[in-house]
Amino acid sequence: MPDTESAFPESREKPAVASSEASRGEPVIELRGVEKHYQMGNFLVKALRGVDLKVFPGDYISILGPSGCGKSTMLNILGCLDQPSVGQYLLDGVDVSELPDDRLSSVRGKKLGFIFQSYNLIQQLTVLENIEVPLYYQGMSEKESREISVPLAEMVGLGKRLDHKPTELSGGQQQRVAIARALSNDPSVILADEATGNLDSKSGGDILEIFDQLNADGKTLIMITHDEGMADRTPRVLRLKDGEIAYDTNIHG
Amino acid sequence: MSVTNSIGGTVRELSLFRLRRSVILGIKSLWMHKLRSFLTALGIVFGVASVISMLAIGEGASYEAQQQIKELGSQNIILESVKPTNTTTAGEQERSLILEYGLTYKDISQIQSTVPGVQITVPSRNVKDFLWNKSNSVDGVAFGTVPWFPVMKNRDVIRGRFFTEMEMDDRSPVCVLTSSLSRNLFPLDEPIGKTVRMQTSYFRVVGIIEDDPAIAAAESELDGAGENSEGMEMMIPITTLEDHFGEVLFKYRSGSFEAEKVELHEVTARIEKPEQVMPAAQAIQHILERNHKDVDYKMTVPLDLLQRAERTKQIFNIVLGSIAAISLLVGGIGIMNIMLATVTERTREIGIRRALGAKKKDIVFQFLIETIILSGAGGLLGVGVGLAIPLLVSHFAEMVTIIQFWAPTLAFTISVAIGVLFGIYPAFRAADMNPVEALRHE
Repeated sequence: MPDTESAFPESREKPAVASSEASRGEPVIELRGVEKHYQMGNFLVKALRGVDLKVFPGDYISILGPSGCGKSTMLNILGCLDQPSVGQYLLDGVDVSELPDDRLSSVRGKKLGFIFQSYNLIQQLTVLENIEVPLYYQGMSEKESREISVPLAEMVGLGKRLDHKPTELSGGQQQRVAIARALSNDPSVILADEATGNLDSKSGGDILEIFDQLNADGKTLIMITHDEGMADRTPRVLRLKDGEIAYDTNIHG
Repeated sequence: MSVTNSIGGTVRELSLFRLRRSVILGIKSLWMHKLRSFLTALGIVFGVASVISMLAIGEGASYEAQQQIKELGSQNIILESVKPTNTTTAGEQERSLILEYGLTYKDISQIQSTVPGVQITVPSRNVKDFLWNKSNSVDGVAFGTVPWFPVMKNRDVIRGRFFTEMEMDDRSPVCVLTSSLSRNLFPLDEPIGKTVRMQTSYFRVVGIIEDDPAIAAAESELDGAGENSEGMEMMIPITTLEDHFGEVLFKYRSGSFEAEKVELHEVTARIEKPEQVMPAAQAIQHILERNHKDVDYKMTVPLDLLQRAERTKQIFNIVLGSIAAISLLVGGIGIMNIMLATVTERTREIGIRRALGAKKKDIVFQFLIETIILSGAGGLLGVGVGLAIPLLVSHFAEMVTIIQFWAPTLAFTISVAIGVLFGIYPAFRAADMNPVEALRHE
């Protein structure tokens, strides 16, 4: 991408890597010199200090790092829940770093799928209704939503529990509902935040198998974790340290 | 992944189906805390019920008063002779056997010739004594008046006719009985055409007139207990009365004779235009003050009473309305309080919804709908209770209550408006939450 190079001469990308990436098409996610600052009393805390990243369609990435390294901030920015203080974030080629709140909500609803550590299902809704929440906010009719949500529930193995409330499900089952929900809007990227953190190894393993399958089907997944074991599972690993990317398989590997 | 979807082609923001789903969602959320929702709505229930029932009771009370006043005729001025108290100068000096007091024909002619707007007057004079039908007697009154009495007093002639002007001019011995007198004097046979005797005079019955509504109401409250001479009236031409009973009335009371001379017992003056009533009343007051040393008369102005009743009603309604409004306000504050607690409690849900694409206005909408459901349900329940309370009051306290069609509508509208008003702040607090922090909330 010679034009981006010239527009951002301070970009730290190495030419050798750029050439290998060129074959993979346009990136889904592109961070350019992203910084995030927080004002804590009189101190300015820099949670991210200039992050450059390209994520390509079909990528399966784990972001690793100790607590306080900026993982959460990174996730919030990638998930459009927060916006960078400095730098640019392009999602599907659209600059979202300075979008107004309403537009940002639309972007989250259309292009992103979230999977959280504590499942974050809405307690008063059934399995099916939980899966349909992202569709509801895009104004899809109940009938159309049903056509999407039922196959998804079946895919994650909850076809017989469509009308159950989250409290009636095990942790693993709840997380599978969350996965179905994250897939309902057919997102460009799925973001998983410590998705297996609250699960026993058996249920956690099941969840990871679903992730593997999703990636095999062509989905782009980014997992944030402090579990070193994940590094062996995903083809691409990012290590964050003090708000910077210290290691990227694409660059260093 | 075989699942595909068609986002974009089906975006219909804030359409009807969306409203329906929001309402269902709102009900589900409220249903999760049934008791809490019910108690919160109870504030509105009481507020709305008190607005409706207070308006109904106030309206009923003033209606009753106004109805009684209207019976008297709003364009009438009523003058009555009143026996002066015993310590008056006339009584002391003369020690006369005959006590002379009350309204005179002179008063009437002066009023009719000098007060502007006086259209017509109805003088009346009565003699109390036993009325006889053969051997059947009733303690009653011979009531001398003029042919236009029924029209002026809004009294219907039930059967036969009233006496005519010609009969008054001829001083004919004809009479019209009030219906209660007719029932007592002629319990079995047809009174019209028969004769009624008082003292030594005979009168031919030509018609039956309805009872005085004011007396009828008083009678019904006493459950008709006891024979009362009040209302037992035999109406005859005033000229006939003068001919047969003279000007001096004798009464035999507790062993001693008492003689009274009263020219007229009652005079009703009709004023042509409503706006002339009050000035005419003042003019009449002046004439009477000049003609009478003692206050041996009483003046009643129904219009004045009506206006006072109207003002009382207004004050009454304002007081009742404010009490009801305060209870609605308290209900609204209760709702706001609970919604603020709910918003805090559901911070995480808000964060999830925001992450999954909900815009700020979606969150505002969701919580506002919930508040409106709460206050609207409270309002509906309140309308039910508010319609029931006046019925109970009517039944047990025997008060007239009037529910005007707009009162429940107004009360319900106010309850929904309160839902919106007190829901806005919590809803915006919910929407203004930072999604990142909301998601992290435990």
